[in-house]
Amino acid sequence: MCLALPARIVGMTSGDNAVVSLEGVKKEISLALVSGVKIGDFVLIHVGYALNTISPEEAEKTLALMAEMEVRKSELRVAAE
Amino acid sequence: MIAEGRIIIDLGLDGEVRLHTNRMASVPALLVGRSPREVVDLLPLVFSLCARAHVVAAKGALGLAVSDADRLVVLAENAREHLLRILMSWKAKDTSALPSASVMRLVADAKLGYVENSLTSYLETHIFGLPLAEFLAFNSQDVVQWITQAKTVPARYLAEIINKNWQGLGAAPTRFLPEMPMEILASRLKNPHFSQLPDWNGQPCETGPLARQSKHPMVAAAIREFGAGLIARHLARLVDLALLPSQMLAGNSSPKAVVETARGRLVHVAQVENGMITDYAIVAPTEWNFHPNGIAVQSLAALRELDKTVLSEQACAVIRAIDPCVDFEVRVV
Repeated sequence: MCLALPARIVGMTSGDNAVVSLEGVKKEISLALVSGVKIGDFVLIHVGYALNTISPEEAEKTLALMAEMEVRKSELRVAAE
Repeated sequence: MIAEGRIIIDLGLDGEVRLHTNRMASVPALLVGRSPREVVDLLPLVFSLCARAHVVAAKGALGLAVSDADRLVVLAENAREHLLRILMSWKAKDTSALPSASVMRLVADAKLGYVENSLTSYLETHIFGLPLAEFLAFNSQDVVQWITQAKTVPARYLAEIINKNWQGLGAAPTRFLPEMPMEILASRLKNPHFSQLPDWNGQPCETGPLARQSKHPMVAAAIREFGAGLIARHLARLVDLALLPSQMLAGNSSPKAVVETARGRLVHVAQVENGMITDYAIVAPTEWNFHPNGIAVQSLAALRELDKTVLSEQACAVIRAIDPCVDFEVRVV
């Protein structure tokens, strides 16, 4: 399933590309599908493309939900063992 | 660590295909213990591509009302997803890139009286280069003529497929997912493995544009001539896309826990007790199509190519035609 992956733009590179930071891991992505994105913005990423910008609040909420999902998943795994 | 899900496909020159995945999505675990309203508010935050379809399927599963606006936004999302696949991977040497801004706005712009017109205009200008009704009425000769003569990116891309003689690439016998009675589905979903590895009557099935449009004359003719390979899959996507503006105008908002997305059928099943979710299951179309014995694997097993680079290129073309909702990696071993 296509989970949302919010990441912050930390740098611009050549052409339509930018560097994002996702939990501290840096990755180069394409900005070909979005316009007006600047350093500091949060974008949702899919297969190396930024799909759209989201607000820092929305990004924070999504990242918190993802973290909660990881915790619940490991709780379920423990319960199943 | 939050990682993007990924499908990994190991491909042998002897036709052996092994598919594994590190997707491990566990959205249902996040929903248990919440109220139906909370679930509907939370889903758009956790899904990137088919978020609106997930919301409508959740509303259907939770017995909440589905509005005409919900129905319209799912169709707009389906159009965006088809166009996103085309924008990302249908490229041709002798054309400039397709404009993406209006595609990426389709979901936000999903208002009746506007979105169906803007979509029609985009499709007629950039995708087909002619009126949608004219494209939908094409016979086999018209299709060939369009591919040969039209200047649009999709026509040029399909021309390259014909030049490589890849029309039937990946053609394999396929079984389309039939209607699934809700009571049988709900009982199958009690098995936690069903959401990850679904089957119907013991068989992995295909869902998506080809399953929806296999009886359309243009697609049926391509299947008869080349099998369920690249050209049939691409024409099915184009037919599916060309039909969306008229579907936007046809109102029918009955709640449904089963929603047709661009990639195929999406199902949500929920159990609610005292206003709280006690159990939840989701089956996404990629789980059907990228099942370890599903249509993607069967199509890849049908490839006959001894050059590793070409085999890898062919595999990527087949996988993109089936269109997983997560990233993938092909390893020729």
